[in-house]
Amino acid sequence: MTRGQILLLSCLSLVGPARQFATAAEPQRLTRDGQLKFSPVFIDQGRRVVYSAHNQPQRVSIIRLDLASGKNTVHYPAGSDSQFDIAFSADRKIECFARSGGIRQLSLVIRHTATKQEYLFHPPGALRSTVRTPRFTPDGKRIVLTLNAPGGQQIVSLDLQGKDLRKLTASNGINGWPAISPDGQTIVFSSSRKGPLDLWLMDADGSNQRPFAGSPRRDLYPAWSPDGKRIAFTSARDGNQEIYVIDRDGTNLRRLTHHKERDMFPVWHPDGRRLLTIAERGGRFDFYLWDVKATLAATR
Amino acid sequence: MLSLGSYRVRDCQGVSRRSFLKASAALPFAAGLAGVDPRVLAAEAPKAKSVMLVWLIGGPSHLDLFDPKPRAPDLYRGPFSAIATRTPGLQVTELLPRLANSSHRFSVVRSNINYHGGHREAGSIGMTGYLAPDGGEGGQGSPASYQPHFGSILARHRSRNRLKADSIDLPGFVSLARGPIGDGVGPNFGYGGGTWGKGHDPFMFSCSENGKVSIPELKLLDGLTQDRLANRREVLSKLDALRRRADQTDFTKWDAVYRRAFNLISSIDANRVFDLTKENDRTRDAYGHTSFGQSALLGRRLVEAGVPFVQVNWSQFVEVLFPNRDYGWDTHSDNFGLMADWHGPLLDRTLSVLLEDLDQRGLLETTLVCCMGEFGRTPRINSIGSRDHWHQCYFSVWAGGGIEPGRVIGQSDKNGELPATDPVTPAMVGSTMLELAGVTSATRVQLQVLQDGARVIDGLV
Repeated sequence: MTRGQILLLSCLSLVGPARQFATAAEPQRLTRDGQLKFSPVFIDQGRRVVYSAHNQPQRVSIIRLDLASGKNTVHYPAGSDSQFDIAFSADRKIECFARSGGIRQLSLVIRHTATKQEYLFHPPGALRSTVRTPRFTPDGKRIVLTLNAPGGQQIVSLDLQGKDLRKLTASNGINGWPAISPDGQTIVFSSSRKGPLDLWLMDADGSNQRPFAGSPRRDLYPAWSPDGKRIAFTSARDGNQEIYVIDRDGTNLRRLTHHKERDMFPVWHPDGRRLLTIAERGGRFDFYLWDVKATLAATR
Repeated sequence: MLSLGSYRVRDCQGVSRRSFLKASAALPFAAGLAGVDPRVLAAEAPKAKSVMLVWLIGGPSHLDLFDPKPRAPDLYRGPFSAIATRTPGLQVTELLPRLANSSHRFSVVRSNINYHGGHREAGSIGMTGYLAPDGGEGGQGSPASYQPHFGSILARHRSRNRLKADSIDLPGFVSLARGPIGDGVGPNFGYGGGTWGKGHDPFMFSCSENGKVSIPELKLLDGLTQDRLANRREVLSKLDALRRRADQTDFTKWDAVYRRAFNLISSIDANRVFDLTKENDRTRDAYGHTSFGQSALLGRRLVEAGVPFVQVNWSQFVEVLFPNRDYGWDTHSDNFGLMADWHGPLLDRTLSVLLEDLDQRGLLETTLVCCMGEFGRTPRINSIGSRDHWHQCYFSVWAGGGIEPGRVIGQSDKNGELPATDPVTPAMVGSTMLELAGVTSATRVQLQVLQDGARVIDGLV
């Protein structure tokens, strides 16, 4: 290849993404408050998003966003603690979230909305033990979460009263960010047991742990599509944190976002066609909704 | 967008009105220095007209940022990959891609040490050079038992060498935070004037993620907006009411402080400095709409206006998962999640943009930027998969103002536990800042500050 050909290719690679996006389905921007926000989940057949936000200078709250009206409502208005990382059982009868009252320990609150009963899971061990990223199993019988406690950062599961702790991982390195397949059979998660944070799979009981997708940079926040055929996740493999989509069998890896700022926290819309992300744009953090097929086609 | 009031300081002692008055009296304004030979103070033009200390309160992990150990055992290394920078021999972690690409603007010290493993004492030592003789925060100490903050020293020095061209009536030492910096237990005693008294404390401004600037200490004048400040009659009326409530001793101090603050706030030129809407949107966006990002932008504007020493404090409450506590970089748990999502990328963005902005404006040459915390974090990952305090070895980043960029100064050992080369002490950090800012060793002797073991960091200047 001549120097001129190399230069031409370089120029094309620079203008390429912008030209491609001119014909792509642009993402729909859902918020404009710019607040630091994280851990979104869809509820009510995709009509609402519930997420965690730094909506006050000294606290994190769980916010419910109605997509039709754009109205934000604090999900649990009472209390002076920080609440975040909410998850809902499929039947919406149970909610769970991480809570801190000011001390270093993060507890898991399991709230049975029908009976108004509330169960607390205090992580074992040191006062600084924490819970993050809880997820209900599709059958609604257990909660899978990331636990920082003696034994390291591991993935565990609990029953609906915060008891019967079962360790799903017990490896070296860091394990976390679990997501359970819609059929409940498989958990995808991130692990640094082999070096960088890669995506791994395991059976729902923690057996059969095997590498799934990896790169020299961090791969985080995997999310199953509703049909269980694809997994979206964030990766810094191209230098910046972007959203990628990969098929369930580990093939057909595609990059969805192309922006110099970060794209994070992907969750699938229940329709399986769209993906919600939190994108850093102009130094602000807002929700964007992507038509996955159209975007991937436009960036092909 | 400068406003007053509507802020509640929280520390372990709580805040009473009386204690508030004392805090208010702590507003600075570098009083003159009796007994120092003016010929000593009249130093030659310094390489650094201003110093910006970007203070990462809480203790950032050196292994997860500027001193990765990709060959260290799994229990030390952590999950973040090391990436190359533009500086030969310098790798940083994947959390800092922008800084990796702009490493030609800064140098990194990898052999900093502190003398204490607690936030409050280590923070005070880091900002003053030494632990207070009475043990500081953990003993029977008080702010008056610490040596003065590096910024207080520079402000005092400059107040005696003030140029008439420095017409805007700005303080010599500004600290940008929502309140006293410290940890969940209490403030750092070494935040200000120390043995020189509260008159040498920093003037504190807070800057929100929206760029709203306020003076927490003036909360007593609640309801007094910037516009209404122009109405002197109203201000005087509020002052009279305050005078009736306060005892005379406190008020005498506070009155002087208030008059200076009033002059500052009502000065058109000063107001322009604090009005971030004067910046174009692209610049504001580039810094990021976090309190840290907008504070760094405000810091640049203060430097541009001639403030000698600006401390930009991380946080407060950038990442708070624990309500009403400002733990900053104190990531004892979920270190790797927080670092991946927030701390690493937000620092990468704001610090790289700050250096680039200063450079493009021609300010970097005369502005010394130092970014560091009070210590690092344990190289060995703790039992709950995170990192704890580690004062035996950590990093600092230096740029501008006479610093030779693109260098790596000092080394840590194979696992990042101890310096493998001569350690860089807090007193050396302060001496380097002050020397470049024109406070020579002779002046420091006259001022009786930073003498024991204090010297400029080899290879950095």
